[in-house]
Amino acid sequence: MKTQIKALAIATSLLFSASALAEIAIIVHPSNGDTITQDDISKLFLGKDKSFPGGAPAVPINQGGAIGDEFNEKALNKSSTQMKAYWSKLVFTGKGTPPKDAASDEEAKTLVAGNPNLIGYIDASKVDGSVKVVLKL
Amino acid sequence: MIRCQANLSQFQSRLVHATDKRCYSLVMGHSMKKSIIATALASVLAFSAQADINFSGFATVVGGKTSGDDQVFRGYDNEFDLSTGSLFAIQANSDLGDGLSATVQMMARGSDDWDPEFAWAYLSYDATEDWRLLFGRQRAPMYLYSDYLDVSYAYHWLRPPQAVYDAPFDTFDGIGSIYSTTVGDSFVTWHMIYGINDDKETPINDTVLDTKFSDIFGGSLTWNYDWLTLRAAYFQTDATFPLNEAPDTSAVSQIAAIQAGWAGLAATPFAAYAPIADEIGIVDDKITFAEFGVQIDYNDWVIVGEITKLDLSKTIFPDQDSWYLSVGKRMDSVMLHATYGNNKDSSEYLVAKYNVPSGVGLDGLIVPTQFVQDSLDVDEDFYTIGVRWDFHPSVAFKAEFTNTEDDVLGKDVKLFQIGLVSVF
Repeated sequence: MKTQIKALAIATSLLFSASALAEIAIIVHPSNGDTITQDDISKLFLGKDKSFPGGAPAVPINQGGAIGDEFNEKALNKSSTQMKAYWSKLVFTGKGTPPKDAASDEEAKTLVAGNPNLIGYIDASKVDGSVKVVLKL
Repeated sequence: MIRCQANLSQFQSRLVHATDKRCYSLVMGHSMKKSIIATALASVLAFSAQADINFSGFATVVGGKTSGDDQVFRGYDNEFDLSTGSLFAIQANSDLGDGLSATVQMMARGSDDWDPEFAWAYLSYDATEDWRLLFGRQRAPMYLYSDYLDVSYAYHWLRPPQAVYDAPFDTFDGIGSIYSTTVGDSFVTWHMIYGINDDKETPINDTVLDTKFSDIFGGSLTWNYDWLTLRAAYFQTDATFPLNEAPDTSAVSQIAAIQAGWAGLAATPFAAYAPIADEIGIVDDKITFAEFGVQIDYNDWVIVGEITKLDLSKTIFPDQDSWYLSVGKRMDSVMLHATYGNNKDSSEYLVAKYNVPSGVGLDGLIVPTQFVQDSLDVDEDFYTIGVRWDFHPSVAFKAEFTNTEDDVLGKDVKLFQIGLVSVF
């Protein structure tokens, strides 16, 4: 009986630590009025779709590092290694090019704020009025 | 089990598996003329003045050995060998604007003495958001993994099952059309190609034939929904293998001699059997290829299967029917996988097809013809177990054991390989 209680306690603490990780905000230009679902985001970042639901061309901006890994896990349900394998299938066969990486949250935000065709992601705590949040993950 | 380097005194062993990919894979693609290389490089350099060039690349460094004392298999023997399966490739890509881009991929293989060759060299044009045209040197998308066959990082094995990945043609110069679009929740890709490959070096046992493939035509249709991918492909080409250009002592020249023997009957009472010569020879003969594939990538499980049919009935080579099924399980950075499959090459026997009677003075043609066809037939079961470990963000370690049970030789061949694969 006692072991069960212990296991439950560990499971609960894991749950808390997972939710304590930073939230990711998916951001677009403030003029972008489209409703964008997680499915749309997945298609854009996997290169399967190249325009916003409203029809305007969409260019995704990725990030490296921890936030990139977390975005791959949360939005695309893939590890960064799987993403690398995925893009290598397309890059070396003329079928596609992976999104460009921004160097930081600040750079991603500045790029998106300056171009209505871009869509990116940053740590939710870094969001300000220069960009519009379409989804939080 | 010598497939590609044959012993002259052993006619049968020289002919066994003549169309086998184990031989072809040693010289896949071919070097273009030096002047073309120089021109292409000059073009790339010229682009660099106007546009950014992105460099990327991939590499496989793999070592392997067979278990037996005298087993030679897919270029490996029982001495550990690091060059046979290893390759390095560099790709330069430049966006020229207005939907145009130029891509060159140079690849050097250990099995080609690291002699670099153009694997891909093309201009691409995005006609619409969904439709891309490729002009230049490309690879026909015959199998599920054809497009990125050499990019081992992109899949779980060191290389897709070589008993199945066995078609004699793949690289071509011509036009490719890739149409890809979302249909509801699924993603559909329709890839059509047309082109030629008029100087492919095809090794058949101890001879390298300068083969021609014209009117290479066909396409693949791929349907992907999240975790499920279904794929079908059909290709055809007209092939010419100059059998009579083989050196006098080679196995291929003996096929040419048998062919000449049947052709010589044209002016005799046995003229009805003279057409056998055309069935042996390979001059503008149509080869067709069909494939169906399934790929499931669900949570931590990967299941892949393909079934292929290669129709070589207008040539001396047997038709090939092959399939495999592979299952893999990911556990964090480690993936374990197992594959089982079969490759069957079966001839339509010409002596039986033409009802050639024995004992009427034609036995000198009947016996070697039947012998050659018998020795080309194959029925091999194989299984592979392996592991992939992603220990680094862009490098993976792989180890594999493949057992191939060949009913022609009546014994198992065991191949063990370890390697590092990378994209950069």
